Formats: sequence, structure tokens, C-alpha cells
Amino acid sequence: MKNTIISIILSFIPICIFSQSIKDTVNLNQVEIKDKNVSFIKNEIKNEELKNIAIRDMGDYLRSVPNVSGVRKGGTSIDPIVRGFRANQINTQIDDGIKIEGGCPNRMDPTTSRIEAEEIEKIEIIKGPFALKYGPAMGGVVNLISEKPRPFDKNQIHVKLFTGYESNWNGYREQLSLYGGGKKIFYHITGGFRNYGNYKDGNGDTVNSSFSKYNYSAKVGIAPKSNQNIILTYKEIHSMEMMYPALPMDELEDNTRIMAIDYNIKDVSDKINSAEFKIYNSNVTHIMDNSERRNFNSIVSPYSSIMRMYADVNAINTGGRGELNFKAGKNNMALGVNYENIRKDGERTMRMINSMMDNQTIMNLWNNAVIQNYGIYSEYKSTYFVMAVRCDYNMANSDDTLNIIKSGNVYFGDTKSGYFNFSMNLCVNKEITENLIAGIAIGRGTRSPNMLERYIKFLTVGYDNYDYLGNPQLKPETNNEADFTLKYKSNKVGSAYFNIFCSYIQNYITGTILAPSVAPIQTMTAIGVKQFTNADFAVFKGFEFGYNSPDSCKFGVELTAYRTIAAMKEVVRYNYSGTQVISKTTLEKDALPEIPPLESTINISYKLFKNKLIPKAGMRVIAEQDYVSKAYYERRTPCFVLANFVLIYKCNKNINLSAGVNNIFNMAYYEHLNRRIVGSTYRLFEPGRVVFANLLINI
Amino acid sequence: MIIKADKPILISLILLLFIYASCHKEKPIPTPENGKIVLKFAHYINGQLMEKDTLKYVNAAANTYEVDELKYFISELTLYKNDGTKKIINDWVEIFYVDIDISSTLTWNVYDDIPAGDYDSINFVFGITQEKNKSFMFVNPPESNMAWPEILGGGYHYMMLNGKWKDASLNIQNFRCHLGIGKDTTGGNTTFIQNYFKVSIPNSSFSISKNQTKEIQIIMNVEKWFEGVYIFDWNYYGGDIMENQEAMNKIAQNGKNAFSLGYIH
Repeated sequence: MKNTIISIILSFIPICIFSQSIKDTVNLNQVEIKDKNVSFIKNEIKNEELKNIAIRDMGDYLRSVPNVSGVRKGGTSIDPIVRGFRANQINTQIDDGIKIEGGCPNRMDPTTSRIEAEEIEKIEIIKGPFALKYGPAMGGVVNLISEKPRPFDKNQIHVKLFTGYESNWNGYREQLSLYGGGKKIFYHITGGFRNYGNYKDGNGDTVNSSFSKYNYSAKVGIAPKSNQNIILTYKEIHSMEMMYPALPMDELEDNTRIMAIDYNIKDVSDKINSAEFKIYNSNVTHIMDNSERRNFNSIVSPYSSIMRMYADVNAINTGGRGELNFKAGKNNMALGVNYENIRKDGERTMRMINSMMDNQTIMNLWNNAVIQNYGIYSEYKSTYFVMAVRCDYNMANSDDTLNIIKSGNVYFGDTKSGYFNFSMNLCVNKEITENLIAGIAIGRGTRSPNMLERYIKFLTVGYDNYDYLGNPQLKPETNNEADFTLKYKSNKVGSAYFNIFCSYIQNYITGTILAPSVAPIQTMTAIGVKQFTNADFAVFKGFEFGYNSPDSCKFGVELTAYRTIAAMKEVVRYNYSGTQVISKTTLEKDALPEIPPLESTINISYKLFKNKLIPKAGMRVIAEQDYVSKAYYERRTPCFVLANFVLIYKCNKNINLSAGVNNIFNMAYYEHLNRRIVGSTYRLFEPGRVVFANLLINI
Repeated sequence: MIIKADKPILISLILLLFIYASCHKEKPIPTPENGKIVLKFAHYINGQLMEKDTLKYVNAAANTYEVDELKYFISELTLYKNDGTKKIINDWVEIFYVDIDISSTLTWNVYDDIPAGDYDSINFVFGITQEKNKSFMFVNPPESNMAWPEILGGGYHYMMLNGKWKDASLNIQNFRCHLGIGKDTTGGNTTFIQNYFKVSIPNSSFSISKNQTKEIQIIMNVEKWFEGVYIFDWNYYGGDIMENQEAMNKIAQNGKNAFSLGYIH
């Protein structure tokens, strides 16, 4: 811990080192705070920053954004966590509103796995309940915006080719795009694939982590008038044989189809600035099994049978949004509506085979479960002041016939529920000096329980290796958050920001252990059963600091440091004698599990030959995570330091080359959020040294 | 529009600092006015602690035999009070697995609170009742290894008592004394017969006061499975009885007397 603090202090030293100024600039800045509203954190990442690094998965990349981390369960599809908020606590979407309900109960396929880095135009991450236009947003919004077709004055066609290779995994990725058109009709057609093998960790051990994916999409834009455009989108993304050693099953295949129509109109009238409408449909079929595990084909001690599992899930998300932007005096006002309809159905088959028997059972994971959400929102915005309100009505139902009742307590029964949720925020900013702005944001974001929390039946979906049971009568959880932010910007010194936040979460959704006499384990290797329940409240708090040297400097420095601490007011810990539960204790202010530790990063770069050649070195310093959940018997994670290097060469305006090394010293390490390998006590290690090269041609 | 934001910022900062100043506490749940029991399982043959893998025992049918493996379920453990009330042990575990090769299964730290008072007897079901005995109820070893084939009624073995005996020709044969759901196909119709049975441990009265933990030893007298109601002869039934309802029924009838109390202290 001391070492980490010293390293953070040391990393500040480069701020004081001023280098020679040049005219050309390269944007190394990941932390761009727009306008004069600095009261909460909005990270914007442009595609310029993605083309020079090794990105096999968007979730993996997002871990490099301050205070964003991810849960690794295999080689890819890392599930993002923003300031400790996870899953549906974060509103993750594609292209300003397309939502995808993942098929996997274990989040093998988060929304971030449905879009590749090569397709990205921009990523927006809004931390906290401060962006209400995209739907209920409790902990934040991650908006992954893919490249859109745009009109051209004259008919033309362009080609963009990206290819990348990574050693260690022997992984390669390719993406070919055609885009062009004219004033009235324009298009963007793209397709790509990626194929990665197993990687070796820093100890030289092979991690079963291979995967293959391919995607194709077509977007056609129509501009009937100069102030209007319509964009039609069709996209498919397919993955197969994705290995997840930290989950009970691997992904056999996943097929996703997305369709969307966008309509935008500007300068509608004197009072209406613009209007935008979107409708979409995403359809996911997800198939998992354990055919790559030893006990699929042979009897593995201590089992006395071959144990097979197979699961097939179909998830459909249909929705849309409409928004009108008005003039309100000198300021702006928006009024909008959202609708989302999620349908999910799936079952799991288990077989137990030995010389005496072939027992098989089929059970529902979801049974025609439906969640519908109707929302209306309004936002008033001026230069220094933003206020927004949002109301949602959320209702859910399912065809489940499961009834669990014991001693008069209903654990799973009535599947219908309906909730009215209210969210709002207020952001105030103050220009303290010409260079310094302070802002404070207070927000309340409420989200209703998701499909997993309401209806899942007996799967190990948490990090704690318990089977989880849904709870149809779960209440919505609400994040009441306050952020205070300072931003300093000067052409000579660069830009820096500091943010602290505190969240008070009511009805925090967590898991409570059920006695085996109420619900027996249903998944091999699970150690018990938990049911989703509402805890009284949890508190999240943390800080974030970032610094970027001026763009005009040849010598570039980026610094970040951040930490989140989260605790629950009261939680029950069960005490064991061997494997038997013998009693329980109530803990107060126990840490929440899966919260990342203190982390700091430093990146330095130097611009050579008029920005044509840029060497860039980076270091990540991650502190030991010793603030861990006692109730969850969470284990500590040791500290580690990583070093990376990349050399960027811009041949000309059409060709960009980059090559580098990640984890230069081949460190054997794992992040605190990496899951444990199933059937062992070992954590999933991160890849060892990786040498990579990327080529981008855009003609 | 410019709003003077100095005061809200200051107030909010102070509030945030207060919220930050939290600390860590641990609060035990108040102990209720109950006692606890711990069950210890022991396995005897002819009044002596059973030695496994030793071909030295002789049953009532004069079969010389040894026991190599012994695993079984007991369920619905019930303590009867002398006022007619009863305490069913099911707050946490209601089906308990015992395996002589897994020492942790020889002790049951009962989670349930036991109301203070005088108890007349200890009772349980040997095996698993029809209502509870469902396939895939256990998916992890060792319990999952007790699975009973679907064609024989599914669910789980009540008991696996595996060993060897010396047959009439003095050859050493394996026996698998497996007890579970029986199958009757007489008349062309298949019916399943539940062979689980209730056990009342003789002389098992005890008293427990609040905050007291009682350790209770339950002994399985293995030789009793082969005598008592019926003399069970391996030479007659052969080594495997899983699909032989007549043999399983005799074992079950004998088994009702196989348990006794070791100690309570």
C-alpha cells in the first residue's frame, strides 16, 4: 500500500517537467470534459485512440478508462464495472439507445461484446445517474457509438481496412469497411472477424481462453431534405467456441441480430430545435455447454458419473425513443420518451451418465419472462446549470410455475410485479477563475430489477460460486449520488480534474444464502444457493484524478488515480465448520465484493518528425485490495505493476502503423475482479507478455 | 444564466466529508435462549468399532464378510419432547449424508436452535422420503454419487454398504448392499416401492438447557442389517440387491433395529 502511494506521488513529478512546445497536436486525452458542465464525469474516447493498441474486446479496453474495471471469466467479453456498479446498474447501449439483452445468465455476452473496437466511432461513459435520456441510469451510462454513414457532396466510395495481430494468443483481427455515397443516399458497410487462441499467463501456464467471432453490418442513410436524415441499420455478430474457464460452461455459439431505424430532423420550427426518433430490435440466441470440460466425456473423481450440461437461451429486446429539443429562452430543453420490451426464454439440460444409469433433467432458466419499461424524461440545460427528471413504469411477468414455500415464507411464487420509478438530477457549475471550474451534481437514479435478479433459476452467476435464485418480488434499487468536481485547464500547464463522489443506494440488490432445506444446489461445483434480495442500503464513495499535459507539448504526460470503496450497512455472514453452516453473524459496514482497488496510471509519449512517429510508454500501478467482503469470504488481491510500450507511425494520411508490447516484464498477475477457475481455488491470471502490431489503411 | 453556486458547493462538501467518515463494526446476533446439538456417527460390528477392509466378521447366516464402504442418508431428524411437542431439524439441513471415508460427515453440527427442555427420544428417517427423494437434488459429490437410476425410480440410494463375503465355495465375492426405491413388475405393471423407514433410537432421552451444547453419539450396528427380523444370507441373494425388492425389503426391516445410542454429554 505504501509503495503504491509513493508511486502515485512519484508519478506527479513529470507534471513539473515542461517540454518543448510544438504546433502540431495529438490527442492523447482520454478524459475530456465537455462544455462548462464539469459537475460529473463524462469520458469520451474517440476511435483515434483505439487504432494503436491491442483490443481484442471492448470490455477489456474499457478497463483502461479511469475507474472502469471489468470481470474476467475467460479470454474475452470482460464485463465492465464503472465505479463498482455492475451489470444493469450501468446502462450499456449501442448507438444512442440500442439495448441488447444478453443470453448468458453469467454475462459471457455483455453488450460490450456485441461491438468491436474497429467499428467504434466514439465511446461515452457518464458516471453516476446524470444521463437520463437513454433510459433508467443508476450507476452510469456506457454508450458505444459505431461509425455511421454520412452524406458526401459528390458520389464517392472509400475503403478502410484494419488488421491486427497479437502474439501469445496467436490472435488476429481484421475489419474491412466500405463507405461512401452522395448527398441523398449514403452507406457504411463493414465486416470483420477475429480468432484468438489460448494465452499464456506470466507463469507460462496456458489458460483455456480461445475464441472466434465474426460480424457484418450495413447502414444506409437517406436524406430526403437537407435538415433530415434516416439511417437504417442491420447488423449480425456471431461468436463460437468461446472458452470461459471461470464459468461452469463455455459458449458453444452466440448469434445476435440487430435492426434499427433512426430519424433526425433539425430546425423544425422557431421553437423546436430538433427532433430525433429511434426504434430497434435485438435478438440473441446463446448456446452453452461443458463439452470442453473433462467430465463431459469421462468420469472425473470425485464424481462417479459423466456430468453434462447444456443451456440454450433466447433473448429479444425491442424498444425505441423519441426526443424533442426546444428553445427555452436562451437555453435548451428536451422532452422525450423511451420504451423497452425484453423477452427471455431458456432452459438447461443436465445428464448424469455411468454404467448403471443415464439420468437427465431439463429445467427452465427463464420461462417466457417479459419486462417492459415505459419512460418519460425532461432536461433543462444552460451553460452552468442542468436539471433533469425522469419517470419510469416498469412491469414484469413470467410463465414460471416454480413455487418455493417453507414455514409460511414464500421464496419464489407470484411472478408479476410493477413499479413506478422516479429519477432526477441537478448539476450546478461555477467558474472560480478563468482556468478553474467547480461543479456539484446531485442525482437520483432508480432501476428496476433485471431478468436475472427477478427470474433466474439456480445458476452460479456471482463471483462467490453460489447458485443464484431470482426473486420476482424484488424492489427497484435507487442510487442517490453527489459528485463534486474541480477542473483546471491552461494552455501552459495542461488540464487536470479531481472528482469525489458518494452514493447512498437504497434497496441495494444482493444475494442472501438459502438453506439447503429451502433450495438445494442445482449446479455442479456450486457451494450453496443464494437468492437475490434487497439489502437496506449500501454506500459507494471514491475519487478520481486525471492530468493531461498540453497538446502543444512534444512531451506528453497522462496521469490518473482513482479508487472506489463500497460497503453495505448490514450483512449476514454464515459461519462454517468444515463445509457445514453452524451459525450466522451480522456484520455492519462490511465491504461489498468485487470492488477494484486503488489504481494509478502514467503514460508518457514524445512526438517525433512532426507527429509522424510517437513512442509511448505506460505504467499501471495497482494497489493490494485488502478491503474485502468478510461476509462473502472474499480473498485479497496482491498489488502489481505493469509496463507497456507502443510505437505509432503515421506513414501518411491514409496509413497508420503501430506496434508494441503489453506486460513487458511478463508479470504473472490477476486483477481483483478476475474470477476463480471452476473446480479450483486459483484465480484466472491475465495474459503474460504480448507483442502486437496494427495496420490501418483508410483510402 | 449564472447561478451563484458557492453555498451549495460548500454545504455539499461538508456533507460528503461526513459520509466519508465511516468505520467498520461487527455485531454478533443475540444468542436466543436455546441450546445446540452435535451428532456424532459411529459404526460398530458386534459391539466393537468397525474395522473396514478386514475379512473377519461373521453374520447370522454364517457369511464371513468385510465392509469396505459405507455411506447413507438420514433425514427428518426429530426430537420428541415429553410434553408431546416435537422439534424437526430442518432449518438448514434436512437430509444428512454420512460416509465412513469422509470424516467431516461423521459429525453433524446441527444449525437449528434446540429449545431448552426435556426430550424423550431421537427419531429420524433412514433414507429419504418419497416427497423429497428427487433426481438431481444433489449435483455435487459425494452426495451426487448416491444417484439411483431413473428406471428404478430415480432419486438417491438410501445406503451403499459395500464389501466382500466368502461364498459357499470359499471364494471371495463382492457384495453391494444398496438400499433405495424398489421396483415391482409383477403382473406386467411397474410399481415403485419406497423402502425408507423410520428409526426411533432406544433410550435416547435427554435434557438441554439454554446456551448448552449436547453431543450425541448415534451408533449404527452394521451386523444388525443381516439379522433381527430376517436372517440375510449373501449366498442366497447374491452380491447385488439393487433390483431385488425382496432382498431390499428384508434389509430395510432389519435396519430398523440397526441404530443405538452411544452417549449424550
